[in-house]
Amino acid sequence: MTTSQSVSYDGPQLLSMFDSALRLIEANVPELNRLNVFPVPDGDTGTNMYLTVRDIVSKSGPQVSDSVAETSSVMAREALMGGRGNSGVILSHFFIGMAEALEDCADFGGSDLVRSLQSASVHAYGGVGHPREGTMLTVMRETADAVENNDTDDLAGILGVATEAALASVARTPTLLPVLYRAGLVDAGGYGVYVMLEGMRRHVLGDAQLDELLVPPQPDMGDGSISPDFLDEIEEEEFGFCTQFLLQGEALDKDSLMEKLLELGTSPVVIGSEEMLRIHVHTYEPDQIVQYAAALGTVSHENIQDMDEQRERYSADRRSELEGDDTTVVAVVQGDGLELIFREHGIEDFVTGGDTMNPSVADLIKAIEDAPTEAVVMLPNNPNVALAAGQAANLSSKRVRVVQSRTVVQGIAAALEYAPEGLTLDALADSMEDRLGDVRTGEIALASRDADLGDVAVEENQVIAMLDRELVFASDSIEDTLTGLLQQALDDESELVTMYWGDLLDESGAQDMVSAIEDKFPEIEFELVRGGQPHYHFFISIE
Amino acid sequence: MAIKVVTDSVSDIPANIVEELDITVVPAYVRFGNTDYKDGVELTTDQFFDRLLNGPDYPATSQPSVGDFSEAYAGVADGVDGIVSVHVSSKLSGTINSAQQGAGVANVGCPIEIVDTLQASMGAGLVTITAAKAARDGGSLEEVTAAARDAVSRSQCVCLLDTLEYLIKGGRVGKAQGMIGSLLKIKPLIIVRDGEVDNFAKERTRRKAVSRLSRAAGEFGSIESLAVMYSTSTDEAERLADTLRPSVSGDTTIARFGPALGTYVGPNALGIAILTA
Repeated sequence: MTTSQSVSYDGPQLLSMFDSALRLIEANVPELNRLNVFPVPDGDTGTNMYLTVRDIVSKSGPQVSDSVAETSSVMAREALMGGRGNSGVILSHFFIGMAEALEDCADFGGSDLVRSLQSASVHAYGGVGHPREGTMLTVMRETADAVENNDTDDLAGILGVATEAALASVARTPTLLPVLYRAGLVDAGGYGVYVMLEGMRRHVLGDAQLDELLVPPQPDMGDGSISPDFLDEIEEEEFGFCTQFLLQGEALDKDSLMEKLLELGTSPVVIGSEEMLRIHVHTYEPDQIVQYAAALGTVSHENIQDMDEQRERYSADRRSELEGDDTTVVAVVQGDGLELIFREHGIEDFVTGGDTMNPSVADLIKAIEDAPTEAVVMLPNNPNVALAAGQAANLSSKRVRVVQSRTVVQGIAAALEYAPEGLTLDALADSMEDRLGDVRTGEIALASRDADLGDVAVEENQVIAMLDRELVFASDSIEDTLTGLLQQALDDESELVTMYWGDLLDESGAQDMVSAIEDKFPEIEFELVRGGQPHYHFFISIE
Repeated sequence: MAIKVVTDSVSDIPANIVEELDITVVPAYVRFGNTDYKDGVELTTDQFFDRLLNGPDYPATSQPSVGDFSEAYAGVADGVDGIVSVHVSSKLSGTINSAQQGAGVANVGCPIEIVDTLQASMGAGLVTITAAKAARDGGSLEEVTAAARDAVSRSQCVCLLDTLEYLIKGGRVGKAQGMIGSLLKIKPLIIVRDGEVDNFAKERTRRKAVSRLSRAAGEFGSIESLAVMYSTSTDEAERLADTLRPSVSGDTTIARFGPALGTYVGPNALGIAILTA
């Protein structure tokens, strides 16, 4: 079906092209989610399109054959089974349409893509109850129109025309769909179609850059971020349940089912054959619809999601991008002096704990729930606590990020970045995470038993030094161990050593210790601060 | 027929640029003990830092008087079409107030436009320079004022302080209050944001703080012009300017914090002011 000089693909190559598309979609999931305000502002278009294409690609893999006709038909079947959400189900049409266009094809070239895009568009319009313009339907149709009369038969060339047309079509969506205009955004599903085509185009060109965060076209009326007035508007609305299932039976009647769905809900999509249909609808009465369908055949793959809950999360995320979050930091600390350091940097929520006293997941959840804000950063300051903090974050209903501080010294380095407002939770947590590598941590304590750890042999009650939690030195005196530690830890770039003295010492004892080693490292500034930690003579921050 | 540009000494514009662009600088006052000095006129910057560091008195500053402004306006008004008077943030100083009253008192024969830069040091200086260039190029009063106001929206200023001590003593700590700590030594970076001093970042060592300042330069967008300011460490300012120069499309200037700002930023302060493109 293709001219001799242009690329043409067999079945595995066709599938591989969609694998590239999948990877580009994956990289752009957050942006696609951010744009998703129609038909319901539930922020899952990217996730749904990604999961749909992922299922198609991964489940078709084992069934792939040389023939593109067979391969595309396998993909269409998986698309029907795996379509998720409004956008994912409409995207399934792309694959069903493509399979129909490729019915007699052994291989896949430019003209086959043209026919696939046309067939996809026709199918997509046919499966939707009330086709609306300014959506992915428009983008699929305008893309198909643009490639119809082009003068190339080359796969890369046609994908070039297609992506250009798709992007232009996406840019026009706010002028066609009023809700997009009010939101100040382009259509998420339409943009997803563009991202998929762009991934395919890059594959054909051999462009390996599939993790690029693409930038959607800017609508004329705004700066590309969501309108705050629109957020006010959607926070007043109710949307019900997104209801999806498969229906299997004999002689299923698409048209009458569609009529019923339009009566009971909105945004219905029905695709498939007389034997198997995939149904998607938004409704306040999911049970009623499922019961109705169950009378016609066998219902399976039921998936009902509360869109109001999703909408709530969506608008909270958008608000946070517009205004920043009020964020609380919860730090796991043992030692009143150390706690004071955190307080000095504006951190006021603590869980007591450390090496010898790991707080429970329940303690951590309580601290998260007690925090005065919805956004919370946790500084576990210990690898074991970090695990529990991760579980607590998952179990909490709040938005929580665990910054993986392995020592309290790292936690203090991260605390320098804390600003209670103006940043999003993620921006704050990211900048705190960036700080963790700024410091090395030394710890001085007594050995509780004999040990032989690699290069270092230790006897009970010797003074040992850990550098970034690895045992590096042991001797009979604190001074020698401190010296041994610093000799290993300091390099040409080092400027400052901050020593937090613990409960095992008093201030003058700690001061004597610092005075004794200060002379050995004349290039370094030493600072002595009370930590008040148990069990450790010193925590040491080296930077 | 021409437009004259007036500013105050808090703009920290280097003398050669002041001369080249024919800018009139109205000096603020610095007081040691019971003696007032006109910033840069009766007290050089070197003399000032020497007294700041070696005492015994801690200085205070005050804005130019209404009389200073009315004299300055009267002094330049002859034969000009208008005066554009560009000043340090009204949230940091009463200078704008004096300028407004001075304009009223002066009763000169040409209109006077007063522009609040919402900035300090070369953050205000770069706005003034932009206005002065527009005036030199024959801009009308409206054009020069518009050029200045446009530059206000593009002007940024970030400073690294060796210590917050002087900002605290001078009572200009503003929203950077939260950075005051006594347990750990911190090298604070402050920013002039919406006309006020705000926290920009905290570092623990000088090297990291200088590198943070250098990174900050790129965080506002592409750089049209840049000034690097210092109080006592010339070499560091020159190194920073050399590092940043390749990313600047226009001029890179080295300027010194004068006595008025030196009172607050203290010794070893290093800053950048940027006009974004």
